[in-house]
Amino acid sequence: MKLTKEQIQFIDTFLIKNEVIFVDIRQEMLDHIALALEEKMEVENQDFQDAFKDYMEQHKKEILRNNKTIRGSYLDAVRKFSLFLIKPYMLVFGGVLFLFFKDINLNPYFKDISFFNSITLIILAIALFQFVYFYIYLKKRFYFIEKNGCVLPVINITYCIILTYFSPENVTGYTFSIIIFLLFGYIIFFINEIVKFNKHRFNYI
Amino acid sequence: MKLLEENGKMYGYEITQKVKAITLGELQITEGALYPALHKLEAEGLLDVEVEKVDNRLRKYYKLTETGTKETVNRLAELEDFIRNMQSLVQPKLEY
Repeated sequence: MKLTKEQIQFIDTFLIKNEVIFVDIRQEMLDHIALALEEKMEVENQDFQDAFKDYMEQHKKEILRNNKTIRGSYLDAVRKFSLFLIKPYMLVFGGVLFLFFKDINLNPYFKDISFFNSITLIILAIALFQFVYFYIYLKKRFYFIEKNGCVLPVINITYCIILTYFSPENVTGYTFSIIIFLLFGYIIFFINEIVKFNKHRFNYI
Repeated sequence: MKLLEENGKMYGYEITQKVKAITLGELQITEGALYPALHKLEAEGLLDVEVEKVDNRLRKYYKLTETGTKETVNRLAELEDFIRNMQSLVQPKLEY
């Protein structure tokens, strides 16, 4: 027994009311619930309302626990980014950066506060782009793409730690290569994720 | 991962039902455990996803990537070793 559009809408509204904010996660949960209800209605000969009530009595906690787990699993994005950085072409990119910067004396640049600020500005510009892309362009929230946003603060913190540890006067080609590698690595990673996301995006919108 | 290796692509509910059928209802994977695990494998690059419109809603299918297929073989071998070791511990063959 297949659910009607109205019944599917009912489940969707229920999930929205229970703060399942990401469209992609909500659609996956909706399909899971709908399949379970269709089976229940057929096997136990129940109508939609009774099947929904019974199912939620047993599974609501688990279904919504899934949503809570997802909110807390942003570390997946950091892991995904780390795995991306060790791809062969990224390692070659890192090697080229190091060879390029290793003989350049970077300390005079870092003594100039505007150069120091320009890297922070690049990080802020990427953050602003992401904000516009997530909340203004897409209009709907998608876990697949939005979770990647949490990598940027990690890069910013790494940048601050590196500069605090080595101090701007002692920045070497090695430390600077790491900063640029992470920053540009993230830009390539994010573009890569947008391309992957766009393969499925039009199904959701 | 073994199920995906055998069946090609599967969606979440299908996986739970298949596990339930294979284990004759002994093992039931809950929604709260299954989906975070699938998303983690996807983040690790072991699974790829496809989204299709089915019965007025969207269905997300999971399938193994090339790396995922290789990793399944490794993880199954590790699991078999672990089970063998556990069996040796639980039922040691005593020789006198």
